[in-house]
Amino acid sequence: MVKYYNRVRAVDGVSFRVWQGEIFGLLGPNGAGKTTIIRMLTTLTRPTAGETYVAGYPVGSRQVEVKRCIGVVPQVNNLERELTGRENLLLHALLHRMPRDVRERRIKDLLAYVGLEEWADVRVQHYSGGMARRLLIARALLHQPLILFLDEPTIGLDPPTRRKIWDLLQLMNREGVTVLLTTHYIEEAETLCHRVGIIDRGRLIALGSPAELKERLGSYCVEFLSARGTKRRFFTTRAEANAYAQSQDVDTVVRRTDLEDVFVELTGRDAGELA
Amino acid sequence: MPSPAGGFFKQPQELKASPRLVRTGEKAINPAGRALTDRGKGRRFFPPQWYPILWEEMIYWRSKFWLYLATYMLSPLLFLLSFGFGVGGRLRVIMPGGASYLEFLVPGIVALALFNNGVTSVTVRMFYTRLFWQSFESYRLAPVSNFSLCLGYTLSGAMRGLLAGLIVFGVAFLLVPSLKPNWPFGGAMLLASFCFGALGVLIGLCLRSFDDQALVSEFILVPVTFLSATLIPVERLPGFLQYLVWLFPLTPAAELLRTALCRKYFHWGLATLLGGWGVVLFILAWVKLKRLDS
Repeated sequence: MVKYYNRVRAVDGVSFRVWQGEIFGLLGPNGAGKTTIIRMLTTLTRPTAGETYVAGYPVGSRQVEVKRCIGVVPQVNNLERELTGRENLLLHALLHRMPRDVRERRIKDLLAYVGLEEWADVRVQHYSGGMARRLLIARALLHQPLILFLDEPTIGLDPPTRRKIWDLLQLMNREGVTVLLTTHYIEEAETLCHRVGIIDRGRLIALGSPAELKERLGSYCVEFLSARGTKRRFFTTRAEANAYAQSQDVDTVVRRTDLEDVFVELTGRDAGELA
Repeated sequence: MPSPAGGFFKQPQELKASPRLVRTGEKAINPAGRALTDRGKGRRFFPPQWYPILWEEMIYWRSKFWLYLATYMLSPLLFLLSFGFGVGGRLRVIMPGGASYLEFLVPGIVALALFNNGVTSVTVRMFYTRLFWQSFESYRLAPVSNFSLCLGYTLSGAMRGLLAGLIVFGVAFLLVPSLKPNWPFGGAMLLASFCFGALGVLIGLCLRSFDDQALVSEFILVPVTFLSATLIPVERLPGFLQYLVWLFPLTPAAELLRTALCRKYFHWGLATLLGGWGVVLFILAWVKLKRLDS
């Protein structure tokens, strides 16, 4: 996939494959091109070059078939604020031409699933951020999609609500829904994703499971503060890391490598720049 | 299998929490469900693809009907009282053939109601849902063709215009009982409301900012409102404007409504011109929607 906005290259030759049944995460800082990739995969934006396939259908020429197979949870709350939660789901069911008995059953089940039964007949404008996010997930699941796309699913949510959303995503995935999400929270990618693609300045700079990516760098990290900032050295075994730590004159910390280390090493930027 | 980024893909069975690929048949055993299995039973009637857009519009009507009613009645009442009953009695001299200005004015005000509400309602709805709330994306992500989407929005604008037109005509009928409704008038209202709904969709898709909305109001809606045979006969406009105003769809709409209401005659020439405008505007809106990117 390549995408230009005027002369700015937002996505620069990104290519990857997501397996059925996995949770795949695109990790990268704001402006890296994650949302553009999601928009191209969900038919909302046309790529400048390249071909994309979703559930076996070419996205450019078989848009209606692609739309039947996908559910999308956007970064912003794009629910109809004047409608109630139930009416929002009903509108989505009508758009997907679901039979009356099926849509009534699924709306009831999904409202219970995301814990919004009591709020079902309240207008969405009165919902909190977490409630709106849960309703967005329910809406995306309503027509039983094969693949669920989530663009920054927990952005702006408090930690308990974030964890609820994580539980929800893992539960759905266990039932066979393939999940592709973007995030700039390293903890989220590490907790949820079977595989992660790291995106920086529109390019896919690494791809693999969190464990693999960390292993590639070295499973153990020795961290110490020098005059030029925090330095990190990576080692395959703890023994090697300990030996290196003891050879240093300054205070050191030996710990396991995390995904944040991978990101910092690959991009040459601090993780603080993710947000 | 090597990946473009230099890593490799894991096969699904190696994943840390391999999913169970369970077929659940007719009934979903879990709310997340298996994809595309829950089809219900038997053959079903499905409403057309554009129906959900009208359904949503009707939900708004349900909650705001009285507000709409009051809003739609206010401006035509002001026009009727000020132009019709205020200065209208003295304007006989400017009417071609010495006709009653009130009879001239009522179809013009009905046309204005169809135009203003048909265009503005759908333009504002599209503007907010597309650029502000971004809920328009949920329509674009649904398996609905662009044609149906365009038709749905056009019909929702047409419905709003028709509602306003009927309210205005109702008020005018109470004040001027000599103007009785007839079938040609009803047909003209339907045709005009469709045309203005399509114009609303086209404008709504072209808007990119709040400033654009103000420009549309100042440079399109206001001039068209005052120059299109609604308040002043075309014959009384300055020379070149008499020809220019026929480029606005409101002119044939107002004249068509006038011939239908006052002469009880459906003018096929004007109807063709208005219908042509409707088709052109609808096609332009449809093409614009198809080319919409981000």
